[in-house]
Amino acid sequence: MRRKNITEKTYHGNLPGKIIINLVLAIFSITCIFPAIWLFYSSMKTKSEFFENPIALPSTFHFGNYINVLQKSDMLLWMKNTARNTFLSLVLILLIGFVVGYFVARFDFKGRKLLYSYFLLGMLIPIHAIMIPMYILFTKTGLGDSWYTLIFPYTAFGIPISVFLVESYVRNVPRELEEAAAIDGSGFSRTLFSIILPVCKPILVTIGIIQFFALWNEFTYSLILLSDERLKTISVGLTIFKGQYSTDYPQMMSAMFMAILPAIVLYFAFSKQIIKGMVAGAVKG
Amino acid sequence: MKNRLTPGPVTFALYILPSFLLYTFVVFVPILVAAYYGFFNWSGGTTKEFIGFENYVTLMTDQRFWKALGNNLFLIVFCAIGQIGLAFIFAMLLESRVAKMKSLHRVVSFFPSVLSAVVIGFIWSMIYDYNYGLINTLLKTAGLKDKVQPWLSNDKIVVLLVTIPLIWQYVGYYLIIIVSSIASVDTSIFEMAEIDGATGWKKAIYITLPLIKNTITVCITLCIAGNMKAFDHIWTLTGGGPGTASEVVALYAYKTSFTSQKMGYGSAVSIGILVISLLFVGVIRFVMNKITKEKE
Amino acid sequence: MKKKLVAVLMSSALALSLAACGGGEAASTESNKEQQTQPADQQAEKQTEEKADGEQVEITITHFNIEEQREQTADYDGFYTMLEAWQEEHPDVKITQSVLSTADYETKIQAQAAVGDMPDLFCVKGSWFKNFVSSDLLTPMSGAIDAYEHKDAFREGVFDAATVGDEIYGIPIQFSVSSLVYYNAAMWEEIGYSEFPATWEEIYDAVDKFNEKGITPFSLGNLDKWPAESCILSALGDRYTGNEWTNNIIANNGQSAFTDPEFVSALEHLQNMAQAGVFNADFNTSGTGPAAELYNQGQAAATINGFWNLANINANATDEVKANTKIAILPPVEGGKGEAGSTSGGCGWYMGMAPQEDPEKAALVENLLMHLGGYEYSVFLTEKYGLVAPSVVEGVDVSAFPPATQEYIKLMQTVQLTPIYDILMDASVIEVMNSDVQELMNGSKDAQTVAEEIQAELENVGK
Repeated sequence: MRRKNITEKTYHGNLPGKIIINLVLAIFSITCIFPAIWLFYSSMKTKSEFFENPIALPSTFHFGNYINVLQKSDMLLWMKNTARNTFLSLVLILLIGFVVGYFVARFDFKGRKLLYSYFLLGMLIPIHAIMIPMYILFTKTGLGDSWYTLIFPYTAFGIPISVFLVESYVRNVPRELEEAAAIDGSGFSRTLFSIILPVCKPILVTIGIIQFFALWNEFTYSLILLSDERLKTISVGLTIFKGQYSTDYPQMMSAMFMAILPAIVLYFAFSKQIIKGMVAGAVKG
Repeated sequence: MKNRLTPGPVTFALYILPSFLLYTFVVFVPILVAAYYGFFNWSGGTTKEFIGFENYVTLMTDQRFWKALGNNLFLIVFCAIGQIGLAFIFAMLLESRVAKMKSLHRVVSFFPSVLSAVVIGFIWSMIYDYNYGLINTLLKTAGLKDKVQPWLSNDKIVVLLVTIPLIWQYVGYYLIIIVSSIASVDTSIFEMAEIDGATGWKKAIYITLPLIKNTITVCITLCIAGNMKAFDHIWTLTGGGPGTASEVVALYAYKTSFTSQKMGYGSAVSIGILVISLLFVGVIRFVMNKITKEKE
Repeated sequence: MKKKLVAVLMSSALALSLAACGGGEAASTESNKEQQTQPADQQAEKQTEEKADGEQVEITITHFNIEEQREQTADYDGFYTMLEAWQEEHPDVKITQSVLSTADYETKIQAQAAVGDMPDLFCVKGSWFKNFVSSDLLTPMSGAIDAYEHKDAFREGVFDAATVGDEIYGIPIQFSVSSLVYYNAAMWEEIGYSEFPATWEEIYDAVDKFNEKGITPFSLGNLDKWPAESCILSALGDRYTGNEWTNNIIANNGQSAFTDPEFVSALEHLQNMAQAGVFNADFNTSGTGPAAELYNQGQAAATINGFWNLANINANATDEVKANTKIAILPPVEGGKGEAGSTSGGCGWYMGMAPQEDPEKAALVENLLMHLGGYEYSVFLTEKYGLVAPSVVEGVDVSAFPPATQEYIKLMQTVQLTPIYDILMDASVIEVMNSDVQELMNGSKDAQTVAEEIQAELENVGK
């Protein structure tokens, strides 16, 4: 309450400042959201309408592009594949990130620092640089071109950021939690999953969110490691809509919009939780 | 009691080993394989010829590589200023008590980070487009017809132009991290500061910033890691052009392997990127640690 | 609490599947692709069942003929028509395709080549053959071609790029002419040219007149870096250097160099064109699509593009543009060593066959390959699209084709063809050339520097 008083003292009567602050924030937010809105309403245009004025609203809402995308392509199959890859990898990333992050944060074993750095190394590797070795490895071991293929790179490359975030989070969790649990007779694994895991929920939500969108949009591994048409993911599938000589932007945009729609729906449906998770979970200062 | 708190070697191995093996197989082994291929003259196909360190030696004096690296440095510096700096400013604005609809701003600002690079690239290519683009349309309406130009052809500013979409996309990401880190600071510190008369930007710079310096270090590390890997946006916007003006190292490695079909040399370039990234991160962490310690 | 996390994840999955299902209903009413609504693993099961009950032979093909673009692309239509006909004759053979866009295809197939893990049939670019053959990724086809009933119909030189030593390793699937000037005769008439200029002075004069009127003289979309080289420099370069020079460079025998004054002149010429306002202002940042669109919508008076643009004009141009489109080649240059009546063209993409272990299957794959790139394929392309195909097809009635196509057919009767750079020269040389040409035209590098840099790469490759 005291804080509030100070506030009023400081800012009362500073109306222009108030307006400017809110205006800047509003403009910033609009630039963040407008492109997606533009993508959506432009996808409802016809090609000639789009070229006449790319920014104007469509005169009538024209669903032909969407119907076309659904008829011409296996969009729904691609979505299903992408959803499966994303979901399974996400479960593994969260599990591994949690366990490894916790171990590295809590126990002072030999080589702890080395192990931690080793797990962070993956953050620095540009995907495009190891495409060929990766392809060779997966082909030689027979792990390529299956429904589970992408789960390996997705999980492995999700580990660095999740270990990184869990580690810094767990370091701020008081040790007394585990001690109290131990006194109550809880074994190591039980404490880990029934005491620590719930405490880490905010950071896990954060990781889940960041990784979800990265995986949903992933392109390179899907291109290189999969050949079977029935395993195709959305990002690779989408490329058929940008043919060499095609300028049918509204058509492309409707395909793009469909591809990001699940992400958008999920994002706004869970936005409260996401932000709460982010705020509670991000790295402590 | 003790083994309830600290796992024994078997438990330890059970928990860590599977992850370790998976990670090693997918991440580390390919790096080793790439390093190994770097020793070959290999233009695709299955035949290759061992040439020792030649590729790595060539890389040392490869001007195109160093120029691309220069572009990465530019990206890192401008993204650090643009992403983290803007994020900090917006975080301060959001923290101010006169700001309305805070949670809406938070939700919306993170939104660009969920879009794929293809979508971002497409949106920005429309913004920069010569005939229909937003910038040129605005310039024409403002009567500045002589300023209208094919923006991405301008090799003097093209790197900056491809940096802007990156900044735009990730400001929200860093904003959320910074906001949450400020939220975790004990509020009594701020109150004390305000009683002492520190308000507005003074408070932001002298009180808030030092309090969240660890977070800033993390942000800068993420920023370096992200920008050393930069590829997709630039690929869609310019393909590294005009010529090689906006080429970055990952793009160069890719082009070397696939467009020029010099897979051996491309592997050497990849290893070069990794080594330099490690150096950058190491240096930054060292410097930030130093700053932190000196102040304490 | 753990349950809660699981619940969050489960509900995310639910939201996803709901989104997918919502779309699914729409799809099933609009289309009859029921396989879409079937989970992928079920489909996989179905496939293994099929494999188990019969001794079904499976042939795998990886290619870039995207079915969704079949209607707009003659070669794609040809490919699928041939494939469908063959499948009908061989119902017991299972054909599995993997289709990617051209750029992604190139990446993917090179990754596969690195392991030697090739599909039975795949597309091969002219410049890849040496490399692929030395890695044993291709089956010799000379025997099959000799035995082929229509072998005499193949155009002269179509196998050149696919020949390594004395053996041929691929069947051409595309006959490409990369440099054609499509021009809108009505627009040129308006500024006083009743036909396409025969000299460069006239071209520059026309360019000035068009620019004054606010019309783009020639549209070019060089964002992807290859169009300026493949569609302009390939033909323009030959005007200056002549054929022999190009063949020396392709063979990399050290007898010709990019720094030869003729080639430098060609580069200077190209730079002059860019700086004299011959092209749309954004030629280096515009994609091939938007550039073609400029011409199609009557906003540009001409465009320099490959034969593939013909289908694009016929499908997408306004009726007025369609009716007025004529086709020419670049004018000759003074003192040049090349033939005046020639332009760049030839076979660029081939289909090749991976080495087979089972001789029975090998015969089958070979049969399919000869069908996909054989005489019937050329007949189809010639009769349906009026294209110049890898095989000569005579006695086709041209009167029913769109005017632009008739123009093309007429032109092709007189034109001589010279090598297309990016199809035959070493890939890394082309990479440097494409990139440098973009800078050359942008004005940030001069012709001599560009020539030296390309030459350095050529020498580097020769080592």
